[in-house]
Amino acid sequence: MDTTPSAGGRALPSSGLAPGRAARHPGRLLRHALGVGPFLCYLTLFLIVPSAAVVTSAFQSPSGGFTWANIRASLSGVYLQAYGGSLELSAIAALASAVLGTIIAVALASSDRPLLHRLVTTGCGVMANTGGLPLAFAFIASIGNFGIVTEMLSALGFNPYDHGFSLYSLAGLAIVYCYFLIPLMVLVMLPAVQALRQEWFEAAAMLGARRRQCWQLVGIPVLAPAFLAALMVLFTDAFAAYATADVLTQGSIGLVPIEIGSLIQGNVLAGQQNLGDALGFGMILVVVVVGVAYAVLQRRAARWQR
Amino acid sequence: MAALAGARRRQRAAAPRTAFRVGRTTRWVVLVLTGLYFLVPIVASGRYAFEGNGGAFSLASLGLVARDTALWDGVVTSLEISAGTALITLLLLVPTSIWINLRLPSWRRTMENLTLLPLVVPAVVLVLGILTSFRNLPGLLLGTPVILALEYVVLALPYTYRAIDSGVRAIDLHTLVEASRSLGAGWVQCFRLVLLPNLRGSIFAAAFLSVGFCLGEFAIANLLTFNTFPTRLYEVGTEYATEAVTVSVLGLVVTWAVLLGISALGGRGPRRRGAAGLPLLSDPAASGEARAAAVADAGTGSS
Amino acid sequence: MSDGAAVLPLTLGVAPPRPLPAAPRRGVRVEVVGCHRRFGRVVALDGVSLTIEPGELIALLGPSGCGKTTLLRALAGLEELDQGAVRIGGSDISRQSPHQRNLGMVFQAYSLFPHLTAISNVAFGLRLRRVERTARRRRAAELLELVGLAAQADRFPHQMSGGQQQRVALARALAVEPRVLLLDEPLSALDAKVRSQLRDEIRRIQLELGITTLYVTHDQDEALSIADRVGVMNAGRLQQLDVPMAVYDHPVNAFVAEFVGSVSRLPATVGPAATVEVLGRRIPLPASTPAHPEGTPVDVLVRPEALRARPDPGGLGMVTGRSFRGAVSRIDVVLPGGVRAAATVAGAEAIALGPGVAVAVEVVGAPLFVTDPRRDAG
Repeated sequence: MDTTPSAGGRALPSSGLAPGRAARHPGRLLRHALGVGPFLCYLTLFLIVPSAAVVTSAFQSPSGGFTWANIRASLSGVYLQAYGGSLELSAIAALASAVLGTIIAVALASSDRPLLHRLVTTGCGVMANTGGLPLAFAFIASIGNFGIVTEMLSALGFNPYDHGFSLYSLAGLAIVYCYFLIPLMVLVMLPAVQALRQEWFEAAAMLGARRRQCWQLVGIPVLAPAFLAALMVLFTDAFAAYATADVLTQGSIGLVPIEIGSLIQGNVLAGQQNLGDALGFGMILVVVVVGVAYAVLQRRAARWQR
Repeated sequence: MAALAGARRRQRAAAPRTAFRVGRTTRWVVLVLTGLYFLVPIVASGRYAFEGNGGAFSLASLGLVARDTALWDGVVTSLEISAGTALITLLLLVPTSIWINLRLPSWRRTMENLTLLPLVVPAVVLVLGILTSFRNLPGLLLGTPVILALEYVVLALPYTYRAIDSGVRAIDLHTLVEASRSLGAGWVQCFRLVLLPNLRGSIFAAAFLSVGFCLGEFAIANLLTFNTFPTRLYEVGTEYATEAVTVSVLGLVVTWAVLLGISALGGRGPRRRGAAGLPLLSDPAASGEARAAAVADAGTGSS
Repeated sequence: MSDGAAVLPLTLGVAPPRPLPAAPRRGVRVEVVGCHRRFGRVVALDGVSLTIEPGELIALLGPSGCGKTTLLRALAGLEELDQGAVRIGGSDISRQSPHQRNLGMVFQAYSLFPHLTAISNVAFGLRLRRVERTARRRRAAELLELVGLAAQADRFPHQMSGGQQQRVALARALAVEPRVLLLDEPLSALDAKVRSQLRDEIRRIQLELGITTLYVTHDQDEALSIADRVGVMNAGRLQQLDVPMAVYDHPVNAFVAEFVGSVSRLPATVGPAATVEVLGRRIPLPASTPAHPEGTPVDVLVRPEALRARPDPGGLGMVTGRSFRGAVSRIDVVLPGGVRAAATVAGAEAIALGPGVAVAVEVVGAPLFVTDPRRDAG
């Protein structure tokens, strides 16, 4: 979103030539690059090296030779189901949060009360950082088996657990995930929604568009790039989440991070030491594939921003 | 004519028309439902935690918490890790960001993309990598919580880097540096007396983001079997549900208080001048906005 | 659907021989009757009635907040009226929503859809009318050519200058063959040079198409130079509606006189036999003057070209400023009592009239208007 604002903007053919002064002198560039050395070393040591280790050992047999066995094992039985569970959960949670978050952002943007805005953005800033265990326990306390809301509903004669609901299921997990995904979505979408100009809707109406068409042909396409970007991050957030799932499912639902966790904690069958690494490699791969798919979509959706 | 135009603008600014109409009822239904969804778990945990026999208010669970020494050990460890993480983050990122903006502006985009890399590797997977690659290193690294601080720096990078970089970009770096250098200040003095005071706000934000991250991180600490606040909370939860909820509520309240407090603190001081250029810090939602910024960058960065 | 949709295909089928999108046709008559509108305590429209003849361009001129934009938006259907009716081509459209009215509108700025190229922006209305793709592209291209932007067809709005964006907006509004064209300060966000150029072009195109047009502006030069008739508004009321020259030369009240063009307000005394004494001379009263008894103190409003200033060491006035404007110059003078006046003089005469020079000022032309002295002098 680095495009020059159009305010009074002259025609600007997209030119790729805007390097800093330094770039023209290779010697100086090298010297300047040294300043970034510590950062790059740190990143390499504590992120790149461990990640590379996961990828390589995913293809190593216990004796150190190359093998597909780990990968094959990671794509069978419970592990395959875990992939299914993880993908389904992340997709549902991300999509639901993205849609709901956008609706909330639209509702909020249509109000011009500064206090309400401040309250909601502050609340979202706080909630977006509320993940993990406390959140899981808060939900257990409210709609768990013996949660307060559950008991209130039971007293009214409607126990959700008698009607197929369970906090400890995929749907339950998705509800909990939404708790920290929705606020993030609101924070991302609010500036985009506020940037929708009244003139666009009025111009569309003057050209013959009904309200639904205004959103369909103008509002939604304009919001699409921000929406897609956020959707991708929500998905990877949900896909990687471990703590909440661990507390709530206690192993009852297969999810890739949980399986990896239990492999690390020592429930390893003989000859499967590198199985965890294969699963980890798979997770990285999923994130990368989602990223690439997103980039392709985004190239179409955000064509007009460049 | 200019005065007229000015008056027009003021009038527009005073009463902005919304870009689209959402029915008042629809709007309030949406916002109230949202509020309920976010408040119910909190209120419910509060009641769950402090309800004694017969529904009376009771602090009994607090007593249990106070006697749990392992929990307090965990809290201390977590605070130590937080301090270490915040320190390393600042030592690593503040000079790097200043350097990039001063000497290597063409690298900005690259840096933004690099700092997004941690989003690609889930924490659980990182643990696998740590166990494999640091297996043969001296026990110092894997045997103490130091490794947690070192890795938390990496995992919080997408957010902390944005917090600091937006602050560095908002000040007129070249002018400040040239002015102080021409007045005879050395690099160290220039950094300490000129740049740091101007970056106070973003340094606070980054420090807070690190601390918030450290106090909540469970996956790595648990899988590397360290006793931190979240891991002890987990153990408590498997044994005494009420106590766990109590601790959670306390934890949430403390985290939020710290969040609001630090952003209020960061809101004072010289950085106010640049408030317009620093949306990240002009609002208590600072940390959330840093996350939002990371998301937006993830959007443009990877394409 | 609106009747505009039915009109449209007539010109779509055949490629016109010239880059003119449609054969000139007679526009429709627009009538606005007894319009009232208030926002809280602010009265935006206080009983405005106005008829725009077929093919006519009326410019609505007035200060900020005078209600001119509200009137235009009410015509568009974007603003509701508390009272009154809007008739187009004889039929009442007050109850129709904007998308049914088939009117073209150009906004102040930034109204282009940012995610669509110039040509897709222009084709937007046709897309809503389900015009087939190649036909609407062809027609959109014609319109872009009409506004001189054929080469920019595939640019996105943020890649175009403000002037180009407004041209596209005009093309987009015209693409659907609207019955009426509404322009809401379309040039106010542009540079002076682009502004006058585009202003002339809007007029050219409007005349070519013969489309009934309402043009809202707060810039009097713009209004006077583009319009068939100028309507001056103030405080929710239409003060005067007449051809530009009449508004300039025969304003109906002091507000119009002072808002359109520049005037000097000179203290005077009513004399006998329909005369008035001003700056030591007795001149005939303008015909429009309300009757005043002899000896009443009044103010006389005079255009700069009706005042003459010449160097005179014994003169009562002193030059405070001088600005060259080609063939004539404008001289600002301060008179006894702090009265400020402006006079135009020929270029050669102006040389002697530098700031600080004592001058004699006299009224040589007919004053515009005589009015009660303004209480709040200043």
